[in-house]
Amino acid sequence: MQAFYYLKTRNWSTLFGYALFIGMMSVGYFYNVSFVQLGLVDLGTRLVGLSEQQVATDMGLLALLTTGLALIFGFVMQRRGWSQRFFFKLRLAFGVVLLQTLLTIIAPHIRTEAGFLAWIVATSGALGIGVPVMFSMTLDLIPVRDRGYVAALITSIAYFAANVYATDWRIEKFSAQFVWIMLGGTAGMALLCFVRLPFIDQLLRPLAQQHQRPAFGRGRFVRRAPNGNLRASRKLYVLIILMFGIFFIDSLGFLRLIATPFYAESAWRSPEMGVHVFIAGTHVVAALIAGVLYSALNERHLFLWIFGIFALTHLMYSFSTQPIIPSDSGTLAMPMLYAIAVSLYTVVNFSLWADVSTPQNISLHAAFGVAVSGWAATFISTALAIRWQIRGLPMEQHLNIVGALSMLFFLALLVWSMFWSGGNTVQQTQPGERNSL
Amino acid sequence: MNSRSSYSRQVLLSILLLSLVLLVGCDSQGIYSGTLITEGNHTFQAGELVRGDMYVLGGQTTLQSGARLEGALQMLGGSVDINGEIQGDVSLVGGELDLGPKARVGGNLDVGNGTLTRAPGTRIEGAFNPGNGVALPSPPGLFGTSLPGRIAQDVLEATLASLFALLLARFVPRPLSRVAQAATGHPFVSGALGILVGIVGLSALVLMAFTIILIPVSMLGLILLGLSVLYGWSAMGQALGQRLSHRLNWELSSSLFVFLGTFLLLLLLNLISYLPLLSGVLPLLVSAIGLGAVMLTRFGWRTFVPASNVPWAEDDLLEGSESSIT
Repeated sequence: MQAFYYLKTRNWSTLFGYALFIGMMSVGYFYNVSFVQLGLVDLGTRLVGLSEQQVATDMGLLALLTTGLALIFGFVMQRRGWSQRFFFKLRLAFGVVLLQTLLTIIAPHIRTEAGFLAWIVATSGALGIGVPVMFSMTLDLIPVRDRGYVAALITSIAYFAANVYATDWRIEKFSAQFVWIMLGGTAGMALLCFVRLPFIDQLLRPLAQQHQRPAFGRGRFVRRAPNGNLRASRKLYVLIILMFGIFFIDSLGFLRLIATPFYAESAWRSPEMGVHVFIAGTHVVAALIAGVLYSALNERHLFLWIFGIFALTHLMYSFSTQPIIPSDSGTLAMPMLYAIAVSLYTVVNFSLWADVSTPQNISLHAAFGVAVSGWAATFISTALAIRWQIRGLPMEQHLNIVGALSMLFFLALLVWSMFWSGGNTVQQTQPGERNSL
Repeated sequence: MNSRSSYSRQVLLSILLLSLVLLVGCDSQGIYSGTLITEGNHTFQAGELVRGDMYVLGGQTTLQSGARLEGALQMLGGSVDINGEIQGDVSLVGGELDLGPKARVGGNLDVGNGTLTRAPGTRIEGAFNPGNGVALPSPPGLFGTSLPGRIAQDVLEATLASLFALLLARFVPRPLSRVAQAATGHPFVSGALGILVGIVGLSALVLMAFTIILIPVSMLGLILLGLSVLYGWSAMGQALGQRLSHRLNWELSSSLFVFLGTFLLLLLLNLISYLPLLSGVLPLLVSAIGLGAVMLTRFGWRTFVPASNVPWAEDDLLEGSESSIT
């Protein structure tokens, strides 16, 4: 880890950058997977009185709006050069955190559908701006070599907290839990953005220049073109499609599993704390494994693992709906594998977009990556899941389709790996020879 | 001619050594025997004796009064009615277990999941552990369960694994060295991949076994996984042997230090397994590192180089390097 080098050379500014990024991203992701994704359902169904299908449709709207806003804002950031202005991004991040704090306080008091929709639009605004801003800070704060490890820490913290700390999915509980974290975060960000103190200046000023150093600003998959310019690898488009596939498969499968009491109550909604700790621990271990492997394996192998595990998990769920596997109650093997797959791809998602970018284009690439693959996939899979539920598609068939999709991506990747072997990390001879991009 | 006959002798010796390993399982009753029931109706009548452990995945099994199972009963599914005697433990993970009034369990009754019905007259000689999970079955050793017996078993296992390592060092020395390099040069990467392969691989093999038709594939996969772990131990044994011979200034042939290294490594791991806290974790971690190194090098046929070794990523650590990306 390069962080040890900075520790050895007492480079406190860069180390502070690590802490700032890990803090912002882990809280942001924890907020997203718990408050936004789970709290929204409770708010819509219990407090506003909407049907589950209506709430799911509104969540689709949230995803669509976020995608559009992120793309527009990412494009604006790139055109105006904002993605290279660290202090400007820090102030934008402060604005996002402030808006989310207000939304956290307001959420439990919403009782009308119009209020609910307004809350969704405002949340989309915060997420749409937050995604390109936060992700573009990776190039300012985290060196290429440590991106996998940092992503592992972010994923571990977010999923551990989501599984152990946020076990009660009522919006009032979420709001009470998050409001103090968000207020603390807002105050901290305000201090960094607007208070002129010498030690803060000493910490932040070097961070604003770090993206100009190759160790920070040139992603792992960025190559130098014959004219000398740095250019993102063409792999970017393939990676967006692959990440879209992962988000789509995850969301389509999970929506049905979480709506099935038999599976939900034996895992993510279990009354036993031990089950939550087990799932949280699996997320942590899998994230750490993913962090190490992200730096060591090439992207094809990583994606093969992710799709392979998803296919295996959905196959197990499909089997459990048939009398092949004894299933008097849900087994933890399936949520364990699910947690492993989710942690693996989350780590890849946190590292990948910075690694296909330069400081000039990170905001648009991150917006494309996270919004198009993540949010758009969520939107389409949500719409599809609702349609299937309305049409009465049995659980078994639903999971079979998800499993088949995972298998399809897995096999397509396998074929891709076999016929286009360039850029393999594993080489035949010459130990110590460096991998070329 | 001489070298060819020497090579033939080595091949014959290897086959002989491998046969010795396989012959260990061929005494009068074998090291281990068991019964696997996946479907259909099976009734064991009075006076009938079933040797070894019984695994029930499905179907209907009845052990009538006077029938005896000389081993443990592991239930994953199906339905079992017992009125006879079970000498070992009974572990219920899934399915329906009905213990009749004449049923006698010689060991513990562990209930992880499933449905248990107990008649008033049922006798449980050991402990009744409801809802505490189920201990995995372990094959009995050749030398019994006493401490000297277990140590003798450990020495035997270490010797057999070292013989396997010796064969690898003799016939595939370069692949073994590549695996050893990956394991010692990149222990975290190897360990991470080893854990992933272990968890996902075992889950996939268990899932295959449940389909019944894929049981042979599952067994083959299990053997391949076991051999990969053994290969990993051998590579780490080579690294240990090399370091020892270097440190102690011993003039040994390369095959011999692989043998000694693997023997010492496995003996050490077996000794650690007697310690309370480290017993499970350390041997598992070492096995994971070995397994991961085997996978990273594709069974030793390629040298592993981490993908993030891009030159500019180390610019912060090098003097006089490129200072700007513009």
